[in-house]
Amino acid sequence: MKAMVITSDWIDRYHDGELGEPEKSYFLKQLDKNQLLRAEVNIDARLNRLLSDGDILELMDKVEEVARKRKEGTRLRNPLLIAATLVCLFIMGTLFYFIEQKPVSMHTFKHPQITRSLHKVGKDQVVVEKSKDRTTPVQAVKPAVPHEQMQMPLLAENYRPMAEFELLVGSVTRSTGLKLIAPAALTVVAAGTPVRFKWISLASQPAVILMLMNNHGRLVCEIQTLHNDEYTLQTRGMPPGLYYWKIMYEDELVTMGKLTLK
Amino acid sequence: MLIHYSDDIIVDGLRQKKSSCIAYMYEEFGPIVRHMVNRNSGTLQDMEDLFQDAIIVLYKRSLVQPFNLECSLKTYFISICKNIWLQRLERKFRLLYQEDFEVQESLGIYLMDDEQLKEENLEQRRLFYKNLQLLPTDCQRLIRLYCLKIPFKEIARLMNYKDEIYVKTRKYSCKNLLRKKIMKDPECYQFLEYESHGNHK
Repeated sequence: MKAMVITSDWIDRYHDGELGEPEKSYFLKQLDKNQLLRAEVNIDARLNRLLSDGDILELMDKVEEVARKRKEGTRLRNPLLIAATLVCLFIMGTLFYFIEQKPVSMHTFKHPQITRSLHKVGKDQVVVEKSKDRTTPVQAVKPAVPHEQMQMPLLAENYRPMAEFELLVGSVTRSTGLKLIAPAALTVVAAGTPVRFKWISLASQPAVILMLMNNHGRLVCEIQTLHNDEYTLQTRGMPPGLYYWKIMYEDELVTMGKLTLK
Repeated sequence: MLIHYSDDIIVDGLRQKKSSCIAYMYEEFGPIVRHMVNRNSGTLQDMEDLFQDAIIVLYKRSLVQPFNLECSLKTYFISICKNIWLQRLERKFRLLYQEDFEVQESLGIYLMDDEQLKEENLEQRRLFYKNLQLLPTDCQRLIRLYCLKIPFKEIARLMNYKDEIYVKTRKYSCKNLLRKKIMKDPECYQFLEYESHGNHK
């Protein structure tokens, strides 16, 4: 008698009822003995049940498709989110850079006494109103440098001495009629601290002119005082840096000094 | 913008196996299911599996007329998910389930004896389906056509095979390949273990 060998198609044929009697009898005997074969037959029976349910298979295909699309969507969304975040960060960084840069470039001198109470009369003439901060009535201030030109690019640049003025600092070129008592020729104060200018004059109504220049020699402000022997310069709002001042009396230079605002 | 579907529309759409309704269910119910699974030691894959199983259960139930909901579809669906997940936890992880009060599961209807909800059936079906997807395309197609009871002659014509005998031989080898894949799957091992334990009881 020819020995029987169970091949892989036997399981299918068993479930399809295609095994002959001797084959089926042998198969059933083997099924009792062989646990692995039993498991495989069991799985095949269940598999057939699943596969015969076309409706469920179709639904599973649809669910699988939706789940896959969702995953792909998430996969696609993630790089887009990263890209959008990077663009936002770049824009924010650029804005921040410009905002940070602006105050440096805006280190423009704005004298509180002058800029706050200025109103233009003519193209080149500006009248200053009386201010509480002043101890001396100020008559007129000539516009020194256009606003844009007062801008200083870097803070360190504001402290660089100007050679031409350095030679004149502290020297009294004319002492007849007016003597400056304060401030000292080299004055260092914190920015915002008022600086008091005081002088003694032989004349009863000295017309003293105070000129303030920055370290580039540009005129920052010019103040003409009348009927007084002192003037308090408010430095609030002035950017830190090196300034030179001149005291003029009867169109002559009396003395020159420098003021360092820290 | 997501269009709002009423419960009836979703159920009808599911009966017709509409992808749009399935996608809507993912959007609407997915976060709650994910939350529930996360709270109970589950992973994102567990959530995906659970969701797919629950959709099949809901589909089968929706076919049984009359299908009258005594609560919102969302609550009903979550109760199905919870029920499946309970059995899954019990079988796989032996962990206690933490009830999620945020989704008001107490309103859910639990039918523990329902055959459709039998965890092993659902998991087996998913296991078989997963492995079916791993077969070569022609094998998948052949098995699907065969299971739709298409005659061998017609299958040979559709698939450009030589003759019916070749179709039959190819079907044997494809099914054999599928069975072997299923048996090699670690999840199948778990399931067989479970079954043998169950038989001993």
